[in-house]
Amino acid sequence: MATHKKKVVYPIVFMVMVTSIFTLFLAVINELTYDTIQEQSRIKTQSKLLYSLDIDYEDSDESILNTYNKYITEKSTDDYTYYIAEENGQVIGYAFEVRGSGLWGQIRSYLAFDDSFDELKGVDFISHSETPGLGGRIDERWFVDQFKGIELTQSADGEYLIFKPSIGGNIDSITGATSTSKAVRTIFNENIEEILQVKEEVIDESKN
Amino acid sequence: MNQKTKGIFLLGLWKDNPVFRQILGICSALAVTNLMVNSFVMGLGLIFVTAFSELTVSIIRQYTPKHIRMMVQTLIISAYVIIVDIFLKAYFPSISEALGPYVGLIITNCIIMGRCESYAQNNPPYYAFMDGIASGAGYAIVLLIIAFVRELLGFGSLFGISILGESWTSWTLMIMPPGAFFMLAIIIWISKNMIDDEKEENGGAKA
Repeated sequence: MATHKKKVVYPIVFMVMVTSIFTLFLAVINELTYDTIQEQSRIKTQSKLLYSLDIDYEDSDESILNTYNKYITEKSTDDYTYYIAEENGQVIGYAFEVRGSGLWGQIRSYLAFDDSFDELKGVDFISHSETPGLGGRIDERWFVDQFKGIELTQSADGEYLIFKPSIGGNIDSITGATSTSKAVRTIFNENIEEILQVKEEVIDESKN
Repeated sequence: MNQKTKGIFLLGLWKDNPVFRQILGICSALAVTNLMVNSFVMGLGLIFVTAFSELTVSIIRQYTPKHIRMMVQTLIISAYVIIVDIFLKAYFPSISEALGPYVGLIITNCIIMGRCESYAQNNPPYYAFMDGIASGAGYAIVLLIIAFVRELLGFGSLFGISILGESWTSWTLMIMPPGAFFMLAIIIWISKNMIDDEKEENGGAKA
């Protein structure tokens, strides 16, 4: 009876000990690297903002930071955080952070407009949890780059982005990732519609 | 290096190579081999995790109750994988992104669990550690061979440096998943023939 009892207690004590040691060990490593990882993810986000605004930067942490500080001013309206890009005192574009639900989780993206909100300057996805290899391909350059220079002035009913081969189509969807493609289109169309309604306010604000 | 260590390396790298002899770790071998850099980092990660997991499992093997040993092994393996993941995120963010979920999935790589269970559980720490390095290296070398061909033909470059020049027409097939299947199959085929030949020369089994 005594040995039987020991066999139950010992494994539990052993497992608790091993788990505690490894958890402590990982917690320390996590603590030591936390700041570095935060910094890296901030640089990553900044580079995506610059990409959506079509501003060139060299692929080094320092260049991204410098370029970002040189061009970008952060502002916000009631609904949006947005970024004004200026070169030599002239506004060259506006980028808005937008979000919405994808197939599996939230999709966050930058939507960048030119100075008069007549066309899209570009987009870049900040984060998403779409299926790798299918919906996850929204990260690929060919998909992202399609949004550059899309006209916003002639669209009716909030349909700024339409998938080919529909009439007036301007974007290729991703084969095999219909739901993700639709989600992206909806998020962008709805947000473009809303942003265009506050554009006067944003343009006024940037003149101050 | 003594005779036993040499034996461990001969088995891990060639005769019992985890990828082309035991057909373990295939999923990641197919997934990350489109670029040399990715394969290299993945290989290093696996060597690190296998070696230290085996070392730890071996050190505590006499105190580990037999019936919960799998739980303990999984815990140890995941701890080391998380270390690799954190390290890459902090210091090599671009590689971490390129490898995506595959770093975390090292946990499920059968090579590590297999070696912990079959070797580290029954052998002293030093040899277990060496066995981890040998098996990890066996995996890494196969990945690098596959990636060498895939990147060279698929992008015309090696480690991102252009080798074949502008006029090279890239074989898109090689960068896509089927390219990995073809390459892996060819390597398994060649190695099988070579190892079976060796056996016959030694007067081994004849079919």
